[in-house]
Amino acid sequence: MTISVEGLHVGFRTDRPGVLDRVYDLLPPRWKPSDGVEVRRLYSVRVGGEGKHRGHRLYHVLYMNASRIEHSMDLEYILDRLEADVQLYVAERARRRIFVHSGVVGWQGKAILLPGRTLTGKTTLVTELLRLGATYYSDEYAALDPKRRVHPYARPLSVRRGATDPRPARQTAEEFGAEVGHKPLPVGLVAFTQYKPGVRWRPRGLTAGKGIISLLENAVPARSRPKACLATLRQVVSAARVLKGARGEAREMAKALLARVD
Amino acid sequence: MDIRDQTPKARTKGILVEELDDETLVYDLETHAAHCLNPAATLVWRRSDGHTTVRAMVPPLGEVGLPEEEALVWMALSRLDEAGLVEPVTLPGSKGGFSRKEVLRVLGATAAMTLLLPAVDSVVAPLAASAASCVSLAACVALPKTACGGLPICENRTNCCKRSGSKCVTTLAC
Repeated sequence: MTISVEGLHVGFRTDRPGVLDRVYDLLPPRWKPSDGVEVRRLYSVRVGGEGKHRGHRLYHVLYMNASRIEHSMDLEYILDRLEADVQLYVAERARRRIFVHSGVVGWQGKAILLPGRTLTGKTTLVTELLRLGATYYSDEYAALDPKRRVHPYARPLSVRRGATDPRPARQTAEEFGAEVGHKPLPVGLVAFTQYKPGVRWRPRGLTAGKGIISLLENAVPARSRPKACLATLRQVVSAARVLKGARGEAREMAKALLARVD
Repeated sequence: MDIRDQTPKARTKGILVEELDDETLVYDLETHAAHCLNPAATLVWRRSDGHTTVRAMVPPLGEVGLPEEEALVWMALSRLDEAGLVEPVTLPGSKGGFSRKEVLRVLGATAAMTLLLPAVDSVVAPLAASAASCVSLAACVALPKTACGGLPICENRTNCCKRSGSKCVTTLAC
């Protein structure tokens, strides 16, 4: 199977057709089938399990082109790795967009960006914003174009179930009573925050320059395409408010954020 | 030669420059560090053309709301030098003499002026893998120490990739 996404062609193959069906659920948003084209990247999943001999078990193996990138007895883990690798490949190599690690929601025709790496509380904040009526765009990446807009990258949200559970649960925006955005939105607000218990959100505005380098710190292709990153982030920051400050509980923060866009 | 007659020269090779209204962004293609020069640092950096003396950089400080004090030019050059954005300059006294606190004390300046003092904010651009949701155990230990990122380990997301001394290791607590 070959797909086209963000101007890239990616191929997938496996020795078990049932596994290929599961790969569909792992693909980046807005992918399209593109059979018959040459691909630069081909993922192969070789399914292991019971071997020919009694008591003999084979690893499940994930290849990227000719390189073995993972092996495990746990097929779920192999599929997780496949998903993570494809997402990262697309985020780094997307032709016309700059992917920034960020939660994104829409509110009154503008986008709110919540940049930050994993474990900074992005998804928690996004879910609270959805409960307050915001439109879902992404809990992972802001796909930014040079026209100051952010495009939907609406995969199911990865909600952590607790400190001891290794796999996040996948929940759709609809489960939070929210709609999913389908059109690109101009960026209205960028908020850099990190959770600190008991803190009241009192953000300070960042200058354009500081806003750009703060976004660059979360940009996936920052090293491979710094010029394009700087140009796009400059456009984004020129039309948006950029705030920074520690936050307390997500619910209060979400209300305060929406009030800033009103 | 009087050190005030030095003619600082801004680095021009191996960098990308984005000029904003009164700030300047510089991306270092060798170290992958991104620097944001505030208006005062920008003023000194733009005049670091290899012809303008330190002495001649003092009067323009008024354009950014600062007093025309030589110490402020040295402070700017000190910050630019640390960021590798100017060719090495000889500074008077120790670099410690150009801390914000010390400069404010010497100038008898107000706290409000702190915001105007020359400053260079720097970040290191992440490796693409560092911007991912998780990193494999094998990838974690292979990352350079500056790029551990604190990311969850893909095999077990209750563990994270963090720096320990000069390498990246997995830790039980994220």
